[in-house]
Amino acid sequence: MDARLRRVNKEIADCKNDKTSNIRIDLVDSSPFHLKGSFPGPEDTPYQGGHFEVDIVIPDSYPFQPVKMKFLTKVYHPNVSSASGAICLDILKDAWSPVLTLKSTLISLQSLLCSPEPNDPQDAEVAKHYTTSKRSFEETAVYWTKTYATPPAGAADTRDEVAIAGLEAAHVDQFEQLGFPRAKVIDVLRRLNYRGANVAQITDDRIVEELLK
Amino acid sequence: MKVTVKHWHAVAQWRWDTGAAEPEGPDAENEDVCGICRVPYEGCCPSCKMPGDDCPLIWGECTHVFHMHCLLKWIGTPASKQQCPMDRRTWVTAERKVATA
Amino acid sequence: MATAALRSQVAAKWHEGFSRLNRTEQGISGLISFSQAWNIATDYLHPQDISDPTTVKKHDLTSVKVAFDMINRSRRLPVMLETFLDAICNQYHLITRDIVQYLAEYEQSADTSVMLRLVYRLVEWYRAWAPIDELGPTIRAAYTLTFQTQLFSILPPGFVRGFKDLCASTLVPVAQHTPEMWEAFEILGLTDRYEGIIASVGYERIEAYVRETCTAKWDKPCLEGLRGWMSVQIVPWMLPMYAKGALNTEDARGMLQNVGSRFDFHMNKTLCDLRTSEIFDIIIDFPDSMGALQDLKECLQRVDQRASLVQALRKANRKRLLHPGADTKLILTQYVATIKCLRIVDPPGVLLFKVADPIRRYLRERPDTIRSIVANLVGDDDSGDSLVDENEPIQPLQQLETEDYNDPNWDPEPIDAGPDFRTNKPSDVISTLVSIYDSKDLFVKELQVLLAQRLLAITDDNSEKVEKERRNIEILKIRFGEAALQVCEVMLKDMTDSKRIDGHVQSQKASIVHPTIISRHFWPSLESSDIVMPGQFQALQTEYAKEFSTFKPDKKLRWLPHLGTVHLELQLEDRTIETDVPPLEAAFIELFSEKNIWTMDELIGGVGTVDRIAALKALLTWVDLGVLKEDEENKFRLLEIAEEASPPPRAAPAAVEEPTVTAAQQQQADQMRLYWKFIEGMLTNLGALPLDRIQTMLRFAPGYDQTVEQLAGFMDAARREGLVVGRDGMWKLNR
Repeated sequence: MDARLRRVNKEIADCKNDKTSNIRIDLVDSSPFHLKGSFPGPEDTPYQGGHFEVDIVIPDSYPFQPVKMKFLTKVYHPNVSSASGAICLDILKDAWSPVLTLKSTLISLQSLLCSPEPNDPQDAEVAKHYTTSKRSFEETAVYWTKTYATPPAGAADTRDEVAIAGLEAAHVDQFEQLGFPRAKVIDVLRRLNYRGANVAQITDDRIVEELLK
Repeated sequence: MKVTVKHWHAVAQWRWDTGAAEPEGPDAENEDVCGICRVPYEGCCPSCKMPGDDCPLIWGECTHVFHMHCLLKWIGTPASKQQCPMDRRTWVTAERKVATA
Repeated sequence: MATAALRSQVAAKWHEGFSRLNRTEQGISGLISFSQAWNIATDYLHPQDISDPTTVKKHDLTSVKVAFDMINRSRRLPVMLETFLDAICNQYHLITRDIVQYLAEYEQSADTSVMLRLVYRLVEWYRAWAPIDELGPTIRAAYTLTFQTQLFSILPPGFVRGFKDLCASTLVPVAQHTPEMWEAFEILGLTDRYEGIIASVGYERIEAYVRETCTAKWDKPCLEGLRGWMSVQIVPWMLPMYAKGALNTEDARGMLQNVGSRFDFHMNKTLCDLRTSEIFDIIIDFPDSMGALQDLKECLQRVDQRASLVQALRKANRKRLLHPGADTKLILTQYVATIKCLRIVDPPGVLLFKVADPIRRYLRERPDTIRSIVANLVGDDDSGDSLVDENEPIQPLQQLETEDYNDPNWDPEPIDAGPDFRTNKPSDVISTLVSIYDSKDLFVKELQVLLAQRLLAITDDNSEKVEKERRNIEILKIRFGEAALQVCEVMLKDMTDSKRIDGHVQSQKASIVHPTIISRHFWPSLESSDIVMPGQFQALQTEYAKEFSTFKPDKKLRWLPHLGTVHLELQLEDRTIETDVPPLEAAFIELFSEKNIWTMDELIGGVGTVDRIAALKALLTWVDLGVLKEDEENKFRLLEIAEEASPPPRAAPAAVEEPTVTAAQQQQADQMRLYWKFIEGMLTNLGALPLDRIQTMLRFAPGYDQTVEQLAGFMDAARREGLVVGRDGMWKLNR
């Protein structure tokens, strides 16, 4: 049997037998080389209570090349693309080692959620939010966790787009009243990182200018 | 009475002497596996058919042990940067126990 | 008026009748002469009693002819015929009387010549009553018809029986009187009337002959001989009946063709039925029953009895083969013979497919089928006779292939092939046997177990035996493929390596220990044991292991102390005993060299841990050898001096036959247990699942190679244990 297949099968089995780690690996389709990993959000973080799913693709030369992983669940985290779920983590790139397993890599992702690295960001906007106001960032991350990562996911229409964007409802309302579409206002304020101390530094004119673009 | 053993056809298993404490029982679980291929040391690496001298282990100065063929394959990839997969220190093969084929 | 008209009409009729009878004679002289002629004619025609010569009258044929002529001219012949036929009917009691008399005689004597005489007598009657030819064929035909109709109406059932016997009597040997007899039959219309009976005489003769000459004679084909017999015995008999009036042999052959073919068909059918009834034993006798099989093949092409052959064989198999009383080896042998036999009879394999199905299903349920097949494959079979022909070429296992639509030699499936019939390309016996199961893996596993047992049993330095196993494996590799037997390769290599290592170790430091050093993970799981060899044994082990590690510095040895054999010499006060014993026996006797009396518990403690039954068995070995004595229960004493009469040996505990290597089936159960966690997880997460879904998901578990049947068996076992419930094909956890 193919060495890669043998190893992956073994890893899946090991993971299933291990009841303590809370890491799950499931098949996506009939191929054992395309998997779905999942783990609970770490406690005492904005991700607590969430259930995070990761898309796993095993490359041909595994384990001599890193597995490809990205979040399927939307995560608000400086090292995870809020749009694509792409992950910035060294062991998924040049720090990969063949002794790493699917399980240990997933555990690394779990701990990445505990300790964001805004200096090596995957999502620059989120990283800016984090550095600007950690409290505001965390509120948004909690909101995302609740919205996207909590099993009985809130129905789409009850989602608060403002909270998802990590903004203040009052700010959005203010510009919406000027006659701009709400979605556009959210988009611009998010891009400009209109949060915390930044609010004082960004003039209304600048925002209107953006809104008019 | 005097018991004289004239001939004893015994049966034994060979094990690699990895220096690690041996797990109890002949087929105890959680036995040592090569970190690269995840196959037990006494098995053989994915590219071998015969275990033992034909598929020896390799010891690093860092005390980490792998199937020799697995480690050489890793070291051969540029991504390895010639480092031990376990501790990412530069791999140095330990003198003492390279299997003499 | 009306009366006058009527009267004149009557008068005209009367006149017309009168002038017809009176012709142109004067007065009523014509009438008178007609009356005379009528009297002469009817008197002549009147059916006489031929048994009574006094009543037989002589007639002047000339005047009779004149009389007929006159009646004819008067156009009174039809009336006369009517009168004549009425007379026949009225007189038929004479014939009836004769028939009753003859049949009575026949009933008594059962002599068919009586029947023949009766037939000739009837012909006599027929001839005696027949009108003269001058009256023309119409009248003659009318007479014959009336005579025969009357005859058939009065013939009692007893006649048919006698008639059949008479026909049969002419068959063996063909009697001389046959032409006359057949002619008589023909005259009396018996041939046509009793055609079926005459034919049944032929059929029955054929049946009897086939049964008598062919029953249980299977070595040579019978059909040719039977055809020869037919042409000598049956055809000449048929000739007078079926080829009557043939002008020459060519003519006769043409006439016989139709009936001959019917008789030939019957012969084929009879033989076919006979062979069908014997088929089970014919298969047992194979290959000494080739002749019967060839006959059967030929018969089946002529007679469509395929369905009944299948039915008969299936029934016989059910009754004689597929029951708990039959040995698995026997079932396999008979199955293989069935394969070979039915391939001769029906090369496309439809019959085989239908017959084999129940056998295969039955074998699949037998626990020791795989073991039997494998044992036979490696020649580890007491009976010594192999399922496989020695001259059958060794070839890779053939998978049942799907149909190749591009095959230019493609033939449609035979019409009686069922929908599930798989075109069975003639494959070798082993492939067919292996295909009883969905996967060959089970065979490979069993093979490994068997090989392990055999290799570990090689105690002395016997490289010849190892070589023999190696050759065996080489052959099996051709069948099962290199990869499947890789593990066996490792086992064989361990054997040679052990010998080499031992050679080296001995050269450094001679030891009486000669271990087989095996590679874990490559030998089937060996039953573990916690026994610790005491005294000198431990020292021997340690010493050898040390020497081994000197030779192979990166390796060490882990002893499997319960395996192997020890050759010991015991020096007792009055005697010396030399024997080969298993290690546990050796360990116990070693303990007795310390002190003479041990309790069972002390002994068990002295060798680490061992279960009591195994311990008792080991101790009884020594009791049997007169070395130990069980003075009181569970207390053993060494007999330094042999005792005269040994006490009645304690009954050996039952169930001590323990194979050192866990049988594949046990392993399989263990393996399934391993997957229970997966199944449990699956059913926890997904609720109820159908079996095939569980199977599909388990396939992704590492090393999972169980068939869906095995899984079904396991699920069923789990159900019995109350772990799961199965309903409508869905399995769920029992919570």
